[in-house]
Order: sequence, then structure tokens, then C-alpha cells
Amino acid sequence: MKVFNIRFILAISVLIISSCSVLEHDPQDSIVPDQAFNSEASVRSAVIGLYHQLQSDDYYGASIQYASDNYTDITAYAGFNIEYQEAGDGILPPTNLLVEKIWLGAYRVINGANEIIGGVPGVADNGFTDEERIIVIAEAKCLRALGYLDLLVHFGEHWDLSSIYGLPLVTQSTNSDYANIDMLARSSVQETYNFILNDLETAEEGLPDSDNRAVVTKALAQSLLAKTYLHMNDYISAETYATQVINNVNYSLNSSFLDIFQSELTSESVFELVSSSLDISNLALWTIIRDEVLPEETLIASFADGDQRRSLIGSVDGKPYERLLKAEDFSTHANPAYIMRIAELYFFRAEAKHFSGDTDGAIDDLNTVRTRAGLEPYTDSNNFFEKYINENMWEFFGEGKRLYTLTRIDKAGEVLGIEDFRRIYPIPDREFTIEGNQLVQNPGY
Amino acid sequence: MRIAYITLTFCSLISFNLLGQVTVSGYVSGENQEMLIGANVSVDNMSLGAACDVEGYYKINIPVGMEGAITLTATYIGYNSQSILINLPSSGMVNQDFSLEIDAIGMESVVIVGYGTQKRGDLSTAITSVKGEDVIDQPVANLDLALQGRASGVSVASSSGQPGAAVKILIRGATSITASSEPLYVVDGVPMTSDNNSILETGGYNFNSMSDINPDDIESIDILKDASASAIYGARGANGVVQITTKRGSESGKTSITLDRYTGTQSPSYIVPMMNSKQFIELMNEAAENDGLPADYFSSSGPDWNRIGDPADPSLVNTDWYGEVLRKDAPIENTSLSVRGGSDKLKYFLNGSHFDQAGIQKGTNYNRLSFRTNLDAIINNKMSMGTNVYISKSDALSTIGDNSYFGVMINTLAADPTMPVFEEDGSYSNPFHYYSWWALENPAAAADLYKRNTITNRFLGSVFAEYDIIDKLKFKSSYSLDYSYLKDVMHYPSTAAESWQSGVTGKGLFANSENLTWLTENMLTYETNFHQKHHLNLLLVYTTQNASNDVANILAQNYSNDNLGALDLAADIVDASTMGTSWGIESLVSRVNYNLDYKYYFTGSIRRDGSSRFGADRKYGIFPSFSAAWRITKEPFMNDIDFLSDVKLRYSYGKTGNQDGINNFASRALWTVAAAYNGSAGISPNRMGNAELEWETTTQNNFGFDASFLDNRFSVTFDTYQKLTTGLLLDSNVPGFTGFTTVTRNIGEVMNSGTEFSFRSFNIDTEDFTWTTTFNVSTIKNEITKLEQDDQDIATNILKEGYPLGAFYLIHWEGVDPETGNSSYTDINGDGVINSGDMQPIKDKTPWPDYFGGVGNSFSWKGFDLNIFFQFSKGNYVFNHSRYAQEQVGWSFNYGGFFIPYGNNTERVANERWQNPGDVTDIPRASLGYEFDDEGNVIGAPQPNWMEDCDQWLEDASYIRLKTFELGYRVPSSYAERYGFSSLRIYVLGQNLWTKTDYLGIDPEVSSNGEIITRVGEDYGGLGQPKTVYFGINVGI
Repeated sequence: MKVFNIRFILAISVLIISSCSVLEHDPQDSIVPDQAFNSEASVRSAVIGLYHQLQSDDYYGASIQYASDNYTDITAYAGFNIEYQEAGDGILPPTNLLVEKIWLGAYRVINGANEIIGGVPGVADNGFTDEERIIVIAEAKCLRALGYLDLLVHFGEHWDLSSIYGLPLVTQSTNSDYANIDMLARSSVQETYNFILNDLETAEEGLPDSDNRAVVTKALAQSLLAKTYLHMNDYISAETYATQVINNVNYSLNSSFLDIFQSELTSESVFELVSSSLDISNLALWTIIRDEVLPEETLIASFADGDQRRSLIGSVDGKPYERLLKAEDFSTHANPAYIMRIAELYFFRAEAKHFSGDTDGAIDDLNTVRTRAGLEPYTDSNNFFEKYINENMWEFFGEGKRLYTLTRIDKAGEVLGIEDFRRIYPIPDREFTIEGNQLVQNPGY
Repeated sequence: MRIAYITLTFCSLISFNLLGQVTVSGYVSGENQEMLIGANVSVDNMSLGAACDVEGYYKINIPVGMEGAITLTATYIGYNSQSILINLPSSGMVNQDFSLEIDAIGMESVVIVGYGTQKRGDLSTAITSVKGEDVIDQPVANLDLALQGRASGVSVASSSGQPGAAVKILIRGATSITASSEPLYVVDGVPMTSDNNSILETGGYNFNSMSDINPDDIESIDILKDASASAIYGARGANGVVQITTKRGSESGKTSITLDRYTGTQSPSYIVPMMNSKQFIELMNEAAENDGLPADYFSSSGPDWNRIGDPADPSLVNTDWYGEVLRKDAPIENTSLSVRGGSDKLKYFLNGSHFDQAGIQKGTNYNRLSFRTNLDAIINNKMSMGTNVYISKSDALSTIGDNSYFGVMINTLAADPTMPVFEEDGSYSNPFHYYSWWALENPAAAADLYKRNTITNRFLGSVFAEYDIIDKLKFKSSYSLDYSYLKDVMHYPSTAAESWQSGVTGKGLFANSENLTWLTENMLTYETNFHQKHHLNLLLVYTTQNASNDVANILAQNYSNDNLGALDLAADIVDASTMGTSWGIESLVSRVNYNLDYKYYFTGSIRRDGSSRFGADRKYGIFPSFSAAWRITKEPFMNDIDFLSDVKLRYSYGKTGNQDGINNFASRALWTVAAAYNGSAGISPNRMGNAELEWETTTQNNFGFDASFLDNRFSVTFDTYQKLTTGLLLDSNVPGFTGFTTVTRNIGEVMNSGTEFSFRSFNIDTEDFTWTTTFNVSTIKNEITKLEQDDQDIATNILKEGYPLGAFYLIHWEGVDPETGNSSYTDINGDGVINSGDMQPIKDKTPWPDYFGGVGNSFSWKGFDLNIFFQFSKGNYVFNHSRYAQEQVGWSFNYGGFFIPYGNNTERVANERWQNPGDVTDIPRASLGYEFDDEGNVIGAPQPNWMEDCDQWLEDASYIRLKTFELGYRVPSSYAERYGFSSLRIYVLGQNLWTKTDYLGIDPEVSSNGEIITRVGEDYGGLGQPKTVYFGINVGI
């Protein structure tokens, strides 16, 4: 019996030893939401994370630029990806996946910003001063506004201030908890603009006047304000803000157009989203590696002789056809996205001036950019829009600015030959399959 | 009847012969020295014999005058009969004992039921068994493949012909959308991981760590199908359990050594015939002419840059790309040496094996070296211990597979026949310099230059001890370890398209994955009989399991030299990361097995499982089950019905849980720490959490019966079942404006229902000649009965209520108009355009078969044995995406007047395309895809005759396949012994020798999306199963 007891005890002890905490496991490569706001350092890395989300292929990594350019008269698509083919055909069904990517990409940035805006006040870190907190919140609000503005000009009826087809405005993060989801409806266009302006004004006030082009600055907030007011037809305010940035000594037109794209962070860039070999962008993937997003023949033929900008379309290893070369690094893919450059501010001001009646001033601004490209300036201000549209095409091809620019000046139907309702993208079909959805689709789709 | 007759004969013999009498007597025993009461011993070719008494003793009186040699045969229900030749003396006693072996799938055979064993005849649940010998000697790296068609209700489909590739195995249908539908694999009682740990992008096929297990070690496979059977594994048994038992030693005191070796060659079972260069150019010319361009546009009349060549030119380059990348004589070989023996104190089984299989596609290979030691030791009369140790090292050489830009098979699909393999200077030709848009890489270069090795070192070991606490109460404890270390090494030289297309001189990758799973089990069993009729078996088990996985990978580029691919020689490191994850399960199981007089059976079990993957309050799930059976033939009213030997009716019901296949932290909200920007580290929200996430539950009802007739000559099994999975672990969509796309929730239900039928019959069973037939067929119906977020489309498949998992979602093609040769499609949304908005769900054509199964016939005559096995499947559809790429009928890309044909076409297009009004065919007219004006300028592009996501490519892939044809000869023991062997068998075996199918693609079984259950049934650059012929010997020493 003695022997029996010992053996029995040994057996039981095996049982006890083995019942340790098999059910308690923690992830080794992720953190839980609480850890994101337990110190100043973690908040700052959350802000870095916002820029990372901007770099996603779904957003400024390729989709937002190439969707717009394929859809319009800038590029043609010669591949077999259905989502790009549909953009290239100019007929986007709500099931189109490219449109879905942009919607999701922008809202990811917005959610990240909401987390920071909501989480910063509660960070228990004495080294994190109130002034510093204001700056961080300003940065987050600027990026949130960028996201909403991009969404509004692509998915909302941004030209019509009385329209109900604005965006669902998420002002509070769910803190990544399924139980906190609020099924929002679309706000009106005016409400959306107000929200964006609010964010941008706070950002403009709080952000420093720095010359760091890789992050958002006061100048970027001002640039976005100029753009927003332009879309709202408030030309006085648009002109004011555009002038502020143009007069800022940190930013000036790069004398060599080529250099903007071949060097990093030149004086031209107001906000340049950088990439590196360890943090790549997909801009060169579609145009060079896959060879599918190609410049339209009409675009190539339209350049005047001597236009420096024409050299950003060329051939790579002796292929018989030419490709876009603004994103020319196809080995390490460290191609930045040019979210805002000083040239665009000149365009904003030209447009504002024209609508305010100062047609000569408008042509002057247009000429500033045109002469930088090595061409003779326009001599008169007739046919302003024809000149504007052409310059815009030659200056910004490949940068994804075409669709909303044409829509804003009400020339989309004329230039692209598309029906009115197709001036903006459809809300992605996936939203309507979710139970409890309150969103309504854009008319016509 | 027979016994009565023998006894009568006996008596009559006794009556008239007492002098010169010879008697033959002895004992007949079965497993474990158990005496077989009532076993029959008879003399062949004479109506002479005896039955054994209560001690298993028989005695036969031989008539006077009989002399020479006679053959005695001992038989007993459920055992394989044994025949022995003896020489009769002139008078006296001859002693001859028999030791019979259990018939592996008969009623007396022992079946592993999870934490214990039961006799097949006593089962109240649905379990199918496959003998070890049916799976060993199969020339496959992955033992799953050897199970094809052998077990009813079990569908096994290979995803690719690549050696070592994972196999999709489903027991009674696919149950889960996000979580896994894979069954649980248990080897010698230890649940195994069967994950793909390699990070190499292999396209559609995955590696599966089941290929680490050596099929030669297998004694038997028991597949638990219904809830009551798999409930014992509750936590992971929702999709059925495949229990593998390896060989163990024997107590006989003798040591037997066996050597098995086979060697053979493999070739592709089918190659899609493609056009040659002449036909290709003729097609392009016809396409141009149909569109209004001048005749011979691509040979002479078009601009220079569009000239492909002259079809009449005898020196026109013609490359057969399939021929260049596929081997017709890929070698395969296997060598296995086993030692088996023991005494009553120690039993041992040792095995060492080497398996080497070259793939039929160049650049692929798989080899494995393995060792196993199984020991069972009796320490004293109360305690026994044992250990199983298995180590293996495997090395898989692969290329990029299906569904990927630089894959060998995918690039071969439509590669340009006018492109030579090599240029004159010996370098691989560049597809961009030739006339087909399709190939991104020279297929032969993709096979030769892209070197990828996956090396796995695996250790599976367990140690167990069993202790008899008191008379009927036993305690068993075991500890097991499953460890694997996998290394991926990849190097692409500068000449590979993937390198120069990216402007770098070479790319390299090194990754490793270390997996460690440990498992402890402690169990108490109590077994007793009372009042002679009541038999009771109680079981209580407590088990814990913990698994962790650590991964590191480094990607580099720009080498100065193409010969060495080590990472430190690269100039740029472009990606480096490490990752780790872990999970655990804790379970308590109890089971009661009761039977009354072997007539009424009842089993009940309850299991409580906790998993680390679920929300804080939802970690535990309770899974009960019960089953009952009635052995009708033991009832008195069945006594007179002689032709029925054994009939049992069964019913079972149970609930099992599933948590496999979801993220280890699926219920938690997580932020990623890999969100860097501009050189600074960043964090960002990554996963939405759901605190209410809990177990997925499968409830299964099963009714069945087992019957055997005519003295077990003919036996059938029938089952019908309904399996409902609720609370499906699904990534459900959340609004995009939350910043997330999905969250894992329990929503949705899937129902699987079906019937299974199998029979075995010993058609002819004489001394010289036997013929046995086995047959099994299963039907299955799969349906998503509830889905909260209906209509989720995933490329060419859709998740929709009322439709099965993996339902296709395609544009409907209406056919080719005989008058114009154009295709027409259904514009379901009426917008005048055919695009993704016109895709529709398809209900009647699904990837799942209406029925499937196998039929085998075995013959033996003297020393020869012949085994023929067919496998069939009817009603399964495949979306032949490969064919879309190969039947574009001339469609070309237009680069400002430079037309690049999409790619080569199949020979079918050469012979059957529409050419004149009135032609009725399914291939439209040749066309470049554009409208031209009189000067040959492109003025438009009409609705194409060729669309990717349409059901023109959805084909019926029903098939019947001669899976195995084996002819062997066992040398008579007298000859063998002369050379020092105890047995010697030589054989020739052919696998996949013949297939009948209407499927136009390479193999009706291919699945390019590997294990993604919602996207099965697609063939996109798939590689079919090889046809293999090989010779082998089995030598016993």
C-alpha cells in the first residue's frame, strides 16, 4: 500500500503540474489599445502610424492617384485587373474594388486620427505638456481633414452645398471595439464642409510653421483650407490662404521640373509622403513593373514642344511604348506621393482670381507655373478654362488630381464625356450589405 | 448447420475405424492468446473437420488409408483464415495449433475510438477504417492522398500535383467559412498540427506538415465521422478525426525484419494540347482579317513591328512549352526497413525510411528521411510504460506555383510558341521581346532559375505510463511533444524576370518557423462487468495543450554574383521581421460506455473545453453527445434468419466545438507595431475586437446500420447524417467608416447532410482463388442556411444564404451566335454593359460532387495478387480559369498600333472555332478585339467575345479514375527460405493510369486556391496529378 500511495501521488502531481495557464496567451507582435495611450512616446508613434496608413496601396500608395487618372483622360489601363479596367472604361459599378479601397484607406486614417484626438487628453504622462498636446491634436485633426476632404471630393456631391449626399462623419473612435459601432447616416455636404473647416482651422492654429515637408505643417493646413474654400466657391478666402502659402519662404517652385521627382523633399513640396525600400509605395508597380497604367496617347500628343514636363513620360529599357516616370524607382520602390506642392497653390489662386473677376491675375499665376516648365507664357486671358485644363493636365498627370479639378470647375462632362452622375465615385457596395446600414447611394448608381 | 453436419460425419467415422487411426488436434487462438471457441478446422477438399470446444481445442479423426499431405484450414468469424500443410504419419497423433489474425475491417477488429479502443462490432458510432497496407506502398509523399476513395464520407482532393503539396480532406462536407474545415489528425493518440508553416509564396498549393509523416509506419487509420465518435475530441473534432495508429512490436519472442523498396517513374497524366506556331500565326491573321484588316496582317501585310512570322516558313521556331517544363520520366523511390519483435515484457517496432520524389514539373522535388521507435514495456504486473519517437527531415524544392506572376505553370498556360527557350547566345529568351502578352517570365527559366528550398526538421515524441490502481481502475498519463523547425531558403539570380523587372541583380530570402506543441493527458478508466450481462466502461480525461510559433524572415536583394545566394552577400536588406504567436486548450472529458449482453449499446460523453482564443467570459464550451445501438441479430426472434450474420442499428447525436483556423487573438482589439514612416516606428489600429466571440458548434445526427450476411461473406454499412454548424466563426463586414473592414463574430450557419454506403464482399473464397470487392459511395449536400451579411462576393465565388460554400459567382455566358460568331452574355442589371455588375450566383453547379467514392477489386491466385481500385466523383464543377487564358481567340492589346496577342491558344481553338456563318460551336470567332477604319486605325472596341469571370469556363469535372493497379507475386516460402528470407514479394504498381472525364483542363482535381474553402473549385495554372508506374519488393527476413 505504501508503494501504491507514492505512485498515486506521483500520478496526481503530474496532473497538477500540467494545469498551468494554457489559456492565458498574449500577442507578441501587437499591443492592446490601452497601451497606445500610456505615454507621450506611444502617442507620438500613433501619429507616425497615421502617416503609415496614408502610404497604403489603398490610399496614396497608388489607388487614389491611378483610379482618378485611369477614369479620366490621363492614363489608359492595359491589364487584366478588373477593378482598374472598370476605371479605365469610365464605368465604375458600386462593386468596383478600387473605389472600395480608397473609401477604406481614407477612413483608416480618420479612425486613427479619432483615436488620437480622443486619447491624448487622458494620457498620464507629466512630460507631455499641454502645449505639446495641442500640437499633437492639431496634427491629427489636419490628417483627419485631409481624409475627409479626399473622400468628399471623390464620393460626395461637393459642388452642391445644398446636397444631402455628404459623408458619414465619424467624430469618435470605436476604440477597436465591435460593441461601440454606431451606424451613421450620411451628413449633408454643408455639414461635411463645416466639419472639415473646423478641423483645418484648429490645425492651422496649432501646427508649427516648420519646413519639414514629410509631415503636416501650418502651411499644409493653409493649403487645404485654400482647396476647401475653392470647392465651396468662397473665392476670397481661397485666394487669401493660397497667397499665404505662396508667400511662405519655405516653399517655392523648383526651377527644374524634373528635379521635383528625382530629388527628395525639394522646395516645391508642401507635403511629400516619403517612402523607402523598407517602407515602399506601389506607384511604380503599376506603371513600370506591371506595365499596365500607361499614359493616354492623346496626352502624349498634346504636349507642346519644349515642355519640360513632357520628359516625365518616357521609355524604360527600350520598350516600344512610353510610361509615366514621375515614380521612377522600380527597384527599391522608394517613390513618394506628392500630396501638395506649391504649383497647385498657384492653380488654386488662378482659379479663385478668375472667378472673382481678376482674369489677368489668374493668367499671371497660370503663367508662373507654365514658364517654369520652359514654355512661353500665355499672352491673353481668353479661353481661360481651356488653358487651365491643359496646364493642369500637363502639370499634374499621374498625381490623381484630374477628376475633382474638372468636376470643381464644372467641365467634367465636356472634357471627359461622362454623364453627370459619374462625376463622383459610387459608395462601395460593401457598405450596403451590412445589416443596419443607414447610408444611401449616390444618385444614378 | 455446418457444425451439425460435421458432427454427424464424425460419429459415422468413429463407428467403423479404430486401427491405424491418425488424429489431428490442437488449439486455435486469436489475439492475445485468446482461445477461439467455436472456431472451425477442416481438411481441404474433403468434408472432414471439427469445431473447437470451450477451450479452443479441436480434434479431427483422419480416415484409415489416407496418407500423404493434407491442408488444414482454421476459420472464425472476424478473423482471417489460416491454412497449414501437414504430412500424415501412418498412425498416431499430430498436433497442430493455429493462431489467427483479426480481419482488419471485420466485426472483431479493434477500432481506436479516442482514448481507448472498442471492437468494431460493439460500435454505436460511425467510424470508417482503412488498413495500413492500403496506404503504405502508395507512391505519394503525403499520406492524405493515399486515402482517396477509400473511406465513405471522406473526400480527399489534391490541390496540386506538386510533390509534398497539401491535400484537401473533408469529412462529411465543409463546415466552416473562416475557421478551418480540416479534420483533426491524431497520431498514436497525439493530436498533430497540420499547418503550412512555409512563407514561400507557392501560389495555390500549400505545404502541409502531414507530409512529414511516413506512410510506412502506419498500421491502421480510423476515421471518426459522427458526433458521438468525434465528440471525444470535442474541441477540435467538429470536422471529424483521422486517427492514425503506427505499428507496434509483438510479444511473440521472434524478431521480424522487413525491407520494402520501390522505384518507378512518373509522367503527367494529361497535358492540354496547344497550338503550334503555324496555327498561332494563322489564328492571328484570321483575327485581323475578321476585324477588317488586310489578310496575312501578322505575317506580311501589316507594319514591321506586327510581323510575327510566316506560317509556311519551315524554319519557324516552334516551342512546346508544356513539353519544356514537364518531365515524362520523373523518378520516385522509397526504401523502408522495419524491425519488429519483442517478448512479453518489451515490445519494439523500429523503422527507418527514405522517400524521394522528383516532381513532374521541372524544378520540384521532395525527399524525406525518417526514423521511428515505438516501445512498450511491462514494468510489473501493475504498471506499463511506453514511448513513441519519430524524427524526420524533409527537403522540398519548389518553384512558384499556380496563381502567381512568375509561376511555372501559370506562365506556360499561354506562352508564345514562336519564342525559343534560349536565344542564340545561350541566355533565356525574354518574353517581352516576343509576341504574347501573357508570359511575364520564360517558363523554362522560371523552372530552372528560381531556387526555393523548404527544409523541415520534425520531432514527434510521446512518453506514457499506465498504472493499474486497483483491479478494474487504471490510470494513464502521457506527455507528448510535436516540434518542428522549418527553414525557407530562396534565391533568384539576376537573370530571373522577377529580378531584372525590379531593376535588381538577384533576390534572396531566408525565413524560419519554429513550432512547438506540447500536450499532457491524464486519464482514469474503470471497466467492469456485472451480473454477466452488463458491461460498463467509464472514462475521465483531463488534457491540456499549448502551442507556440516563432517566425523570422529576411528579404534581400542585389547580389554581385549569381552563384551564391547567402543573405550576407546581398547589398540591400529590404525587409526583416520577426513574429510570434501562441494558443492553448484545456479540456475535461468524461464518457460512459455500456452494453447489455452485447445486444443493446449506449455511449454518452460530455466534454468541457476552454480555448485561449475566445473572449474572457466565453472561453469555455460544453459539448455533450450520446449514441445507441441495437444488435438485432442477437434477439431471439432473429435466430432463424440464418443468412444474416450480424446486424446492428445505430443512432448518434452530439455537439462538438471548433476553434481552428481563426487568429489566435481573434477576440481581442489589437494595434500593430509595424506602422513605420520616414524612419520612425509607428503603431496603428489593426484589428477590431469582439469580447463576445465564442466556440463554433457543430451538432450532428447520425443514423446507420451495419450488417453482414452469409457468414460475413458480404457486409454493408450505411449511414445518413445531418450536420449543422452554428455560430460560424466568420469575419463579418463592418462599415468602412469605422476604420476596419471586418471583425470576427459568431454568425451564420452551415448545414451538411448526406448518406454513405459501403460494402465488402468475398465473392469467391477458395483455396486457390479469391476475389474480394469493396465499394463505397457518399452523397453530400452543403448549404449556408443562415448568413447575417448575405451576398458577400469574393472574386468568382459568393457566400449566400441558400447556396453552398464555395458557390460560384460569374457572368452568364449565353453561347456563340452561329450567324455572327460572337458571344453573348446576360446583362442582368440592364445597364447595357457587361461587367462585374452582371455577375450572378450559380446554384446548380457547385464545386461539390453529387456523389463520390471508390470501388476496389482484389484477386489472388496461388502466389499472385491483383488489386484494382477506381475512384470516382460526379457533379463537381471547376472554374477553369486556365482555359480563359488559353482561348482568347486572338484578342490583343493595342499599344498605339502595335498589337500584342494575349497569348497562345489551345488546339481546340485551332480546330473548333467559329469561322463561317452557320457554324455551331462553343468557341467564338477570331478577333483582335477592335474596330478599324479603312486606313487600319483603331476606332473602337466592341463588347469583347472573351470575358474572364464568366461561366463559359465553368466545367463539369466529374471523373472516374483508375487510381491503383497492382500486380504482385509472393514467392513460395520454400524458395524464399532457400535464400535466407522468410518471405519475398515482388510487385508492379501503377497509379492514376487512366482517367475518364469531360473536363478540358489538366486535371479535374486541381484546386488553385489551396485551402481557402470559400474559393475551392478553381484551376488557374494548376498542375495535375502524375501517372506513376513502379516496381517494388517486400522482403521479410
